[in-house]
Amino acid sequence: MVSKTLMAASTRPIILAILSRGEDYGYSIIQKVKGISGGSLAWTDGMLYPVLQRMEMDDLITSKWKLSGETRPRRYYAITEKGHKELASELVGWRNVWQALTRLVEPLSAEN
Amino acid sequence: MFNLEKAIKDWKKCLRKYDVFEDGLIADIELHLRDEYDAQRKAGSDEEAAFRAAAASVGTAESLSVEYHKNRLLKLNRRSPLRPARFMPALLWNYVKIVLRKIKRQKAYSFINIIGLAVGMACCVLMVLYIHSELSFDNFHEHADRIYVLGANSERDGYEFTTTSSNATAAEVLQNEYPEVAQAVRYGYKSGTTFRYEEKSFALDRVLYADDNVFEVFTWPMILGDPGTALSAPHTIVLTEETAGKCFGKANPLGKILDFGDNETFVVTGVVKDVPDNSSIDFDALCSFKTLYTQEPLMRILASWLSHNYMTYLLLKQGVNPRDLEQKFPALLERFSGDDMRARGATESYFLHPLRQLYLNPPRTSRGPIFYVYIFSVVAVLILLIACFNFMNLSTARAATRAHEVGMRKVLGASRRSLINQFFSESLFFSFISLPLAVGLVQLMLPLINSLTGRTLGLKVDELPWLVPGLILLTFVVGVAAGSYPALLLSRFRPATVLRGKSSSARSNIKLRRGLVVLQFVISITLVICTTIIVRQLFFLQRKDAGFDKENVVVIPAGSRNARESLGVIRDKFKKNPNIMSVAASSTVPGWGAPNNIKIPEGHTESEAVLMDEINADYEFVPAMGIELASGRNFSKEFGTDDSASILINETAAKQFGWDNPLGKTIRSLDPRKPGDQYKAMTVIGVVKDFHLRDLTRKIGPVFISYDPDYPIPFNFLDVVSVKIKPENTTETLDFMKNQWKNIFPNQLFEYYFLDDIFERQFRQIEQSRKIFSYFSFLAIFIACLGLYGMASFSAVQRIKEIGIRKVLGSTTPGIVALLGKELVVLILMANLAAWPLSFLAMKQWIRNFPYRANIAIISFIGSSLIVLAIGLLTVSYQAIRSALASPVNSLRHE
Repeated sequence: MVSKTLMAASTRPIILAILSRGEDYGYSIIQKVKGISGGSLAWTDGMLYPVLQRMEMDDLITSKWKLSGETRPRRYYAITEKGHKELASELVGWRNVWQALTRLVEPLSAEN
Repeated sequence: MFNLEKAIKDWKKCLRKYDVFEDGLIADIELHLRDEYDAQRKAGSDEEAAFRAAAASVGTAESLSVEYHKNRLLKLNRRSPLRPARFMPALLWNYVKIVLRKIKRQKAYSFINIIGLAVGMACCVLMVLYIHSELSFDNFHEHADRIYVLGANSERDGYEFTTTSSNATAAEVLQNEYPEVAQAVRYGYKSGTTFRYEEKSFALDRVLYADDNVFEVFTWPMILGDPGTALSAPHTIVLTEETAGKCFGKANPLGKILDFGDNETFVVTGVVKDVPDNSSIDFDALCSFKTLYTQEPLMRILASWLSHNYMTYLLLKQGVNPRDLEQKFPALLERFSGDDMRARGATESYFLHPLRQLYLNPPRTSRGPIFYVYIFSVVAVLILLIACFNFMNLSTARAATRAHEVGMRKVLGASRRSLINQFFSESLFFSFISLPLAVGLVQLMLPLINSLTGRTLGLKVDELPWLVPGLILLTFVVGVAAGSYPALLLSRFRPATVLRGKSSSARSNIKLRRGLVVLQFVISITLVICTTIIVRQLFFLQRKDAGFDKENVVVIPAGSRNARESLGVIRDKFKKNPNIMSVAASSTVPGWGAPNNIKIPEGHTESEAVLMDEINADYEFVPAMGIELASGRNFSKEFGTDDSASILINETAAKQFGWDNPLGKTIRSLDPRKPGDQYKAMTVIGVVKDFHLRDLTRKIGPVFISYDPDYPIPFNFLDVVSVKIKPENTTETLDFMKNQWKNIFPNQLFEYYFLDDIFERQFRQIEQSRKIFSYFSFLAIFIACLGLYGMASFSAVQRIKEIGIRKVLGSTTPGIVALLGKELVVLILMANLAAWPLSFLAMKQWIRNFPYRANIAIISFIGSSLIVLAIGLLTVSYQAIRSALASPVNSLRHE
C-alpha cells in the first residue's frame, strides 16, 4: 500500500496525467486510478472532489456539465495549457526523485 | 423496505449541515454516490448494502467539509473574474438614490435623524472650539515654553497659602546671580487707573507696572515706539492700541502726558497691539516698574522679602530644567529671609509654574478651568452619543421594513461586505447632510456661548487650519459610529429567512433598543439632576444672609488724593439731598475683598501673629452697609482717639482669639508710618456681626476695621465712597450726585456701581455653569425625545393591528394609551437607577468646594426624574393617543 503522504503528493499529477489523455468525470477518474494502480492507490472517493475544485481554482483544469448519451448529467474535467506545463514539470520531478532513490538503493560499485 | 431516494435525501441533509457544501458541490458528490451504488448493485450487493458501500467510499461529511473549507479560505484571497469589482460607481449611485428616496418617503424619520445628528455635532464643535481656546491660553508668546511664574508656598500664623505673587527683589537676584535665568520680569497692579488728558478724563480697567525688558520676554508686538527703551525711564507708559484709539483717536499718542492725579504723570512712549482674549496677563496700559521706586512709602515693601505684592516671570535659558533651578531656591530664601522667617515662625518655599498652565491649572486653587474643560467635554461627547443612539435605534427599529431589501440584494448577488458598505454609506450620507446644518447651528449658538464664556470663539477657518479637516473627520466618525450597529445587523439577515417574512433577531433588537433608550435617559436625567442641584446651590448662596445690607448702596471709587481730601465737602453736599441717608468712606466694600495683614492680638506672642482682613473705614461705614454691631460701639466723632487707636473686629476674630469679652482688648498692627517692623497697639471698641467681605464661596475670616484718615499713600484708604440712598427716585438721586461730583471735581469721571451688583458678580461662575448645564440638559432631552418620538411612531405603526383587535375586544382609549406609555415608564424608572447615584457622586464632588452649601436634597432627584418622565410621556402620548383613537375598522380592514 502507498503511504498517505505519498498519496497526497501524487494525487494532482495522477489526475493531470489521466486528463491529459482526454476529458473525464469524477467517478471515472477514480475508477481509472484504481484500475491502473491495481488497487494500491486507494483514495477515499469523496476526497477527489475538493482536489478537483482546488485544481480548477488554480486554473490547471476546467469543468463543464454535459449530458453524454446517458441519463445523468456529468461534470467533465479537461486539462488546461497550464495543467500540461504543470504535468511536465511534475513528471521531471518525479523522475528525478525516482532516479535518485534507485541509485541509492543499488549495491555499491567497486570503484566507490 | 429500503428506499434509495429517501436514503440519498437523508445523506444530503447531513452534508447540508456544513455551510461549505454549496448546491453544485453536493450534486457532484451525489452523482458519484449514484455511480458507485450502480457498480455495487452490478457486483451483486443488495440495495441497502450497495448504498452503504457507496456512501462509505465517498467519505464522511465532516472530512469532506474540512477540505472544501480549506479551498474556500484560499478562494477568499483570490478574486475570480466573475466576482464584482470592489468599487462600482453605479452601485454607489444606487445607494445614494435609495437614501434620497428614503428621505423623501420617510420625512419624519429622516428629519429626526438629521436634526439629532446636527445638534449633537454642533455641541461637539462648540465644545472643541471652547476647549481649544482654553488650551491655547498664553501660547501666543514666542518663548511661552520657557516662561515660568515664580510662586510660593507659605505658612504664616498657622495659615497656609499658595500664591503666584512674590516680592520685588527676587527678580533682580535671580536674573543677576543665576545663570539658568535669561530674563526676569516683574508685573504689579497700579491702583489708580483713571487719568486726565487735556480736560478729558478716561478710566481704564487694568494698568500694570512692568519692567523694561517685558517686551523681550513676552510677545506684546509694538506698533509705535521702541520696545528696547519704552519703559526704561520712570513715569513712562505704553498703551494698547484700543486704549490709544479711545484716548487720542487717530493722533499720534507718543510723547503725550497723562495725568493720573496725585501729582503722578506718565509720558506715552509706545503703543502695543491689544492683549488677546487667551492671555492670562491682561492690561490696558503698562507703566514703567521703575516708577514705583520714586514713591518713598513703597520703599520698605519693595525691599521686603516677606511680602507678596508683585508677579515675577522668569525666562529660562534653552535646555534649563525648571526642577533643577527650584533645587536652588531654599538656599536663596535662607540667604535673604531666613532670619526674618524664623523670627516669625513662618516657612516659605518657592516653585516655578509654567506660564502655559497658569490659566488652566493655576497652582493656588485645587480646581482651575481645566476642571470645567473636562466636564464640558464629557457632556458634549455624551450628547453626541445620544444622537448616535437615536440613529442606531431608529435604524434597527426599521430593520424589519428593510429586511426584504436585504434579502433581495443578497439573492441578486450582494455579499455581506457590499451590504455593510451600503449601510455605512447611508449613515455617512446622513451625517454629511447634518454637517452644514450643524455648522449653521454653531453659528447661531456662538453669540450665546461667547456671552456665557466671555470669549470670542468662532469658526475662524484662517486661524484654525485643523477646523475643516476636523469637521470632516467628526462627520465621518459620527457616520461610522451611528451606522456601525445597523450595518452589521441588517447585513446579517439570511435571505431565506427574511424573504419568508421572519425576522430572526427581532427579540435581541428590541432589547438593544431598550438598552439604548435607557442609556439616553440616564444621560438626560443625570444632566437635569446636576442642573437642579447647581440651581439650588446658587439660590442658597444668593439667599444666604451676607451679614450686610447690599440694597440701595451706590459705590463710587474716588481714587485720587483730591477726592480723599474733599470727602468732607462731598459728604456735606450729598447730604443736602433728603434721599441720601449716609455717605461713608472706606478702603473697600463687601464683595471686593480686602488685603490681609499680620496682626498680633493681645495674649499672643509675635510668633503667634494672625492674618486679618483689613479695612480702613470711617464712622459712617458700618451703618451705611447695614452691618450690625454685636457688642460695643461704632467709631464716633465724639471720641478723639477713634481715628488713631480704635478698631472694630468681627465675631469670627473674637472667637478665633478666644476672647469672651473682646471690648478693651488690644491688637498690635504694623505702623506704615514708621520704618522697620514697628507695631502699634489698637484697642477693640466694638465687635460687628460676621459679614461676607469676600465672596460666599469662601469662609468668613477674622476682620480688622480701623479708622485712619492719614494712612499714607499709596496704601488705599478711604478710596471708595459708599452712599446709602432711599429706594425711591433712584434716578434723580443719582443725577443729583453726579452733578455735585462734577461741581467738586470738574475733571474727574463720575463712576459708580451698585453694591448688590458688585456682590452678585461672585455668582458669575456658578451662574455660567448653571446656564451651560441647562442648555446641555435641554439639548440632551431634546435629542432623546426626538428619538423617542420616532420610536413611538414606529411602534404605533407596528402595533396598529394589535391596537385594533384590543379595541374590538373592548379596550378603552385610556387603557390603550396606558399600554403604550407603560413601557416608557419602566425604561425611565430603570434609567433612574443609574442616573441617581451617578449625579449624586458628581455633585457631591462639585459642592464640596463650597464652605456654605445647600443640602443635596432628594427632591432634586425626584423632581428631575418626574420632569424627564413627564416630557417623555408627553412625547409618546401624541402617538399613543392617535393610535388609540384610530378606528379599528381602518386598521383591521386588510385582515
